[in-house]
Amino acid sequence: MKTPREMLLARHQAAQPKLDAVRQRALTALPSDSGAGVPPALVLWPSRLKTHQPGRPVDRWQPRRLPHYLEAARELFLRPRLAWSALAVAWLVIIALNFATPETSAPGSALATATPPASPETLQALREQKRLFTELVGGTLPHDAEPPRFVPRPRGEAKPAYHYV
Amino acid sequence: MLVVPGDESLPVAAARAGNPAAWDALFRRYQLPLYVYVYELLRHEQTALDAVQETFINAARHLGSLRDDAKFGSWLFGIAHQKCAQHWRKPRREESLDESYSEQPDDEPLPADLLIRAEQEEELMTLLNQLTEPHRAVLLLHFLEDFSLEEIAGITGVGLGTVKSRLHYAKKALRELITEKTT
Repeated sequence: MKTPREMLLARHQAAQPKLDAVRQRALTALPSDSGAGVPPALVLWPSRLKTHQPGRPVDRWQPRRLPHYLEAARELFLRPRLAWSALAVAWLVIIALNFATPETSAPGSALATATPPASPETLQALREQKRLFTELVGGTLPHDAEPPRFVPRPRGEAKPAYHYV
Repeated sequence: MLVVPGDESLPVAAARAGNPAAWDALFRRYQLPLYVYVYELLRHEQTALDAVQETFINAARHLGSLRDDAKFGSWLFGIAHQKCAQHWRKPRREESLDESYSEQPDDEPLPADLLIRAEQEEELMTLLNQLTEPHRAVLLLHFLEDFSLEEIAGITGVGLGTVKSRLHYAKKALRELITEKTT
């Protein structure tokens, strides 16, 4: 009683000498760097060997192509790459100059902050000059006092906004 | 008694490093099963020998692409199967028939577990000859190396369901033969 495997191998046992010769020929044809040069991503599983013909080199690994929309986007942004680079450099220069320049204030504000507050004598002199100027011109001196307050009047003195006909 | 070393000490890593002795051991381990497989599919001695030699050379050239060393056997048989496929020219008309078997339950013992008596050997070979190449390939891979269904699917380049259906068909035919002869 044999297993099918034993039976099949025994039937072809006579081919062993020829197979030994085949093995020797294959060993002499071994490449010096067997297994090298094939990228790990390339798995030469039998389904990928369908197109391989004896005598032709096996298809080597090729970079995977991007989808069409990614290719289009890539072209759109990568074609003017010189312009993008120039813009980036310009912005970097602007930012660098902004940080390198010392902090300066506006001239008007600097003057205002530098002026000391007026003394009471100065204010009095200014009022006197203003009064003399008004007298020379002939006008009335505007009151420095507070504006007149609203004084309510009786309702009968109020001017009606319309008339009865 | 025929002795073929097992897979326990396959020096795949050493062969990848370029060790000729390791390659010799690997070739010696698989030369006869590969030849049986190719010969039973092609039915031509010289073509089978050439296919075995080309399989060895291709394996040595592309071993770097094999990721799992434990699958060296199925990988090697896959290369040999492609060599056979290059010689097949007839259309695969039985594909539609295969799918009709794919959903059938199959709890029967595997043919590899069966024992063949001496007087049944010729009947078994006759049965193998009557099967189509795809069915014969599945049955031979199962007999010779006891590959799993997934490994056979990888070797033959077909789906798992197709492998199941082909094995079911071949087992059924073999079982009928054996029961006929024993009763």
